[in-house]
Amino acid sequence: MTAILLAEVNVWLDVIFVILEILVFVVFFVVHLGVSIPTGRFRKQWIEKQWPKHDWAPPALPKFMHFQHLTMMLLLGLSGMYIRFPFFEGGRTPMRYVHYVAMVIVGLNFFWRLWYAFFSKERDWKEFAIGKKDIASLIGVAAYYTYFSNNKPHVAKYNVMQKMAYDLFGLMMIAQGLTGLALLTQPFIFGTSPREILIGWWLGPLVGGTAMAGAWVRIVHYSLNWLFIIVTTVHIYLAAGIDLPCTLDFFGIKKLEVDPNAYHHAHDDDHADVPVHAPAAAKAD
Amino acid sequence: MRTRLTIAAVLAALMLAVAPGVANGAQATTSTAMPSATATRSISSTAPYALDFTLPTESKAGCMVCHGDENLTRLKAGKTVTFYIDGDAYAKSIHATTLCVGCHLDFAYTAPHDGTTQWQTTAKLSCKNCHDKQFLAFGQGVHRRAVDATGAAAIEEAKKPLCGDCHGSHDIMQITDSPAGKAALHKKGYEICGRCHQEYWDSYDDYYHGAAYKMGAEDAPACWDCHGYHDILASSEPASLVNATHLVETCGSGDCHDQHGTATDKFIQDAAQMIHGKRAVREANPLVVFFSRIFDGIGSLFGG
Repeated sequence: MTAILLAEVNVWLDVIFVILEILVFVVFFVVHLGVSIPTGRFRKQWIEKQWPKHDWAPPALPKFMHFQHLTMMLLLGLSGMYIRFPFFEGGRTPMRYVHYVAMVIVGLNFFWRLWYAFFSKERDWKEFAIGKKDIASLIGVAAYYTYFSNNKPHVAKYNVMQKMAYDLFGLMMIAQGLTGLALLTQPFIFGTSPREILIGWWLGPLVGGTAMAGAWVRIVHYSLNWLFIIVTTVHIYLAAGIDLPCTLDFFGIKKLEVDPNAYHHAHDDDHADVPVHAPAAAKAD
Repeated sequence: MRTRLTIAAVLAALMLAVAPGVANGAQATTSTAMPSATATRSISSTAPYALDFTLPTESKAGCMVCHGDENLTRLKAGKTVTFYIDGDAYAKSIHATTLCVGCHLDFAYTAPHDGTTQWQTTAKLSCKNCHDKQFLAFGQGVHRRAVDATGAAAIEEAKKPLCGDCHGSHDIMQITDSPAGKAALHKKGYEICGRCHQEYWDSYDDYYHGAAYKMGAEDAPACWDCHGYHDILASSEPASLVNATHLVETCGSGDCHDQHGTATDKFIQDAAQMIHGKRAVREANPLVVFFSRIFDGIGSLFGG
């Protein structure tokens, strides 16, 4: 029973995450998008082009970094999946190198983002900090995204759910980096491998040895890979479905129009959906 | 009759022409075209070649006069069987300087050589004459043949592989100190083991061993990396490398799971279960079963 547990857990993870990803895709790209039609949001955004306004457009460097980071994350996910599910001939060694190189670049990106958030001229860490006002707005934001309300509370550049998602993404990157390093068994310092340094001494005795600890950490690493895929699926939907102009700007396809007074209107803290039957003058742009 | 004698004379002349080079120890090269003669198919055992020739020397070049011809085929039970030997592959093999009769010990210098297939067994076993150490190990393994078997048991014994069944024949490469030979051998898991042990070949598809191996991963283990080779034993045998009592030792050897002795008995037992067991676990997974039935049902609606 115990012996087969490792195989059972791995197979269950494969099955559950595939189903979960399909469900998430359907929930967002079919159900959520579908509900936006009778609620009028689809028409407002995609037909009348009433996209959210912005009083600021991201500079070139963050945009490039986002694009580059996205590419590296895709390579990491692809090569990681290949290592577990090899789907073409002769790719083991090349895909491992792809994984290692992308990992290093993503790691550098992470540290660059920390520098950008805390030490650069932009110093935008506050944009990701969740305060009392954010927490107070959580129910309102959730109600907006679930179509229970047409008003989206606006507290800062990012709403509280965005902040939570981005902060979660950062935490997942740290966890993924550490679990990834813990999979390396090559001698590193004084003949000791990263696995032994990171997990061997504490997790090993708990689960039956360092190699066994590696097996369980690989399970966590694999699960996090799926969580990245799922979170990114939602991110793609929301980025394109909620704020297409900003997405196009991020990929350099169409420059974002900046309105200095974007957030200074009658409802300072709320972004209400403009009714479909609103007069033309009230429409955006 | 006169025509046949003429052919015999031409063949003999060709053999004499190529024999001295071999006799002097010259190796065949890829740039040298193999002499060939138009193949003549044996009519039947009652009307064989009238050609009873005697080779001028026991040279492979002499044999290659006929066997270097790609058209040297024979119709056997409705199937075309080739007797062509790729001279280039042979010249690159580890046995390039070995004479044909060094392995074909029972060659009788007649054509067609023999109506039986005993020559195959002889050739496949001839390795023992030089590789006695390996043959002795083979005699300790599960593939050894019981010499006293009779009836149905003898038929089963005859199905067991001989040296040549696993190692191949004319194109066999050097393995010792030869990365190319090792790499070529490493890829042949199906040819060597899988085609007989199909069930185990199919179940060898766990994430990091079997699936990777089948996709050409150089560092994924081939069958014999775990199970051993010449003296291979069934896993139930206590002396088998994959017997539960030896798994830590086997999996922890070499560059595999030898992480300073950290590959514990528990880890090895769990991982070993997955190597040939993951397929069964997946097929028994209730969600996989559920969705398989749904997809099968949908497929049957469309005539699948």
